[in-house]
Amino acid sequence: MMEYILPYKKWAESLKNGKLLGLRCKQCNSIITPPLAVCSCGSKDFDVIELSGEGKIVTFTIVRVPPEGFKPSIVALVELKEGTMVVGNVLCGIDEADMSLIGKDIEVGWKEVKGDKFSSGDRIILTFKIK
Amino acid sequence: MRKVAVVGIGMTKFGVAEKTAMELFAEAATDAIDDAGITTKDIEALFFSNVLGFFSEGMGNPAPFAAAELGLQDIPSTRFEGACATGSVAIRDAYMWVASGFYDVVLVAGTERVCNMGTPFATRTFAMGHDSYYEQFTGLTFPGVFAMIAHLYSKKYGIPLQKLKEQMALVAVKNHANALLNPKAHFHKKITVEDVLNSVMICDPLQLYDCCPFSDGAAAIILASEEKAKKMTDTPIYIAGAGQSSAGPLFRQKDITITQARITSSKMAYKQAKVEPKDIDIVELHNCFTIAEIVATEALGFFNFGEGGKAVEEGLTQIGGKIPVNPSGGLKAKGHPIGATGIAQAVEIVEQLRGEAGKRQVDAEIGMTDTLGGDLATICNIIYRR
Repeated sequence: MMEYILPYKKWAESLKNGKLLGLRCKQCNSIITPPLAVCSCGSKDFDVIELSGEGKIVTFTIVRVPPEGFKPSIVALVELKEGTMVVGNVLCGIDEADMSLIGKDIEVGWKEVKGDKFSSGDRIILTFKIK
Repeated sequence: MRKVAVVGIGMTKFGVAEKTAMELFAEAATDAIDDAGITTKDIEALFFSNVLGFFSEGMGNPAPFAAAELGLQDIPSTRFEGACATGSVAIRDAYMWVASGFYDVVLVAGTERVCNMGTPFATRTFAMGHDSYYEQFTGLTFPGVFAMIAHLYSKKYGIPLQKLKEQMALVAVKNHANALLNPKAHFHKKITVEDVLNSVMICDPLQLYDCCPFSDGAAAIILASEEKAKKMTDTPIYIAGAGQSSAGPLFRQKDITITQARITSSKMAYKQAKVEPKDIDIVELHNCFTIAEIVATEALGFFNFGEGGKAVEEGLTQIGGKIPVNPSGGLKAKGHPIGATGIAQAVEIVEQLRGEAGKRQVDAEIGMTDTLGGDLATICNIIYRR
């Protein structure tokens, strides 16, 4: 029987301990995070590994009209050193966020976001501290 | 596979509706049935498109009720899912069932009512199209996704952001001008580049007029096998090709300015239709935001990557241009009642290919639709021809 090797709960709990976990595909060596069940090469044979937690901002936006229950935030897509991408919140003031953010080096952190009646619990999400 | 044609079309006015989603559906569906010159008894199945019914009206299993609304208590009726692409996904499935010979005549209809939800709650439910565990709780929204695309596009192609914003504003101006010619459009308001650039910031760099509205509305089409279609109408509009593709959440996509799923899906449709992008005379594409129209024209193969904005400046996407893009006004100005959107795109292409589009008529033999759902995650393309 297939066992989901890196479930969200384990990924989130590790992040709270300062470790960003991912998968290394034993067949094609791809590094993957957030985790999934089957690699795009077809393999389900993974090692769970700790990632550097370092990367560069690929792009960003300032969400000024947020969903109900959320505050305005700076959301960015980051490419980690290992080549995989992640989404998270940039830790800087809304007034400081401009095109110069793109390409900046960041360090991954985490924060807890309260869930709502649609979310099946709280979330641990990634934060990006500009180096 | 048999040839399949659109033989009937119907669509409500898009905008803010007093009517329920089911009432809107009934209007569009009965108009399509009348347009085809058939009766409800000729319909063998209903392919139903609705996205947010659970949240907007507490409507959990509307497909069978929609059939019953037309007095069709016993036909199979199924709701489809593909976020904002749901309507086109439903058409593609319906097409395959008729092409296979399983059904001869089917109804495809979509309806949506969201204006009653208010912006914060509607934004929350739309944002459910993002990955719930690894993305959504950053506060990301769909304007946010396309805003990130715009920033990356500016950086990647070395187009100064202000220049790109002016090109994006021209997309809004063009779509509002087209919508003025469309009696069923949500907006009938001419706007200028200055109006766009002075509007309130939603998600940097997207301002209010870069964004489509929340809209209510419904649209419906009747599909029939070639044999039946020829008996029903002198102007059957055939489905020449259809494609659909998927992608994971944003973080699994290599370059969000490209939309790989759109390249895969459109190639599938082009191949089946035995045509190339240059053969397309008219396209209704997924311009939920101004930047979305620019990147879609590139991935569909109408312009080189990085040159979609320049094409807008040169007027190549206007009615009468090289490739008229969204003569209906598109999602941006015709409106975007999400479950109805893909089907309304089909309605516009069929009207155009029949030569019934009035003041916005394009001289066209081959038309295409392009619909996007969620995190650039569901793309469906359909090619129609006279």
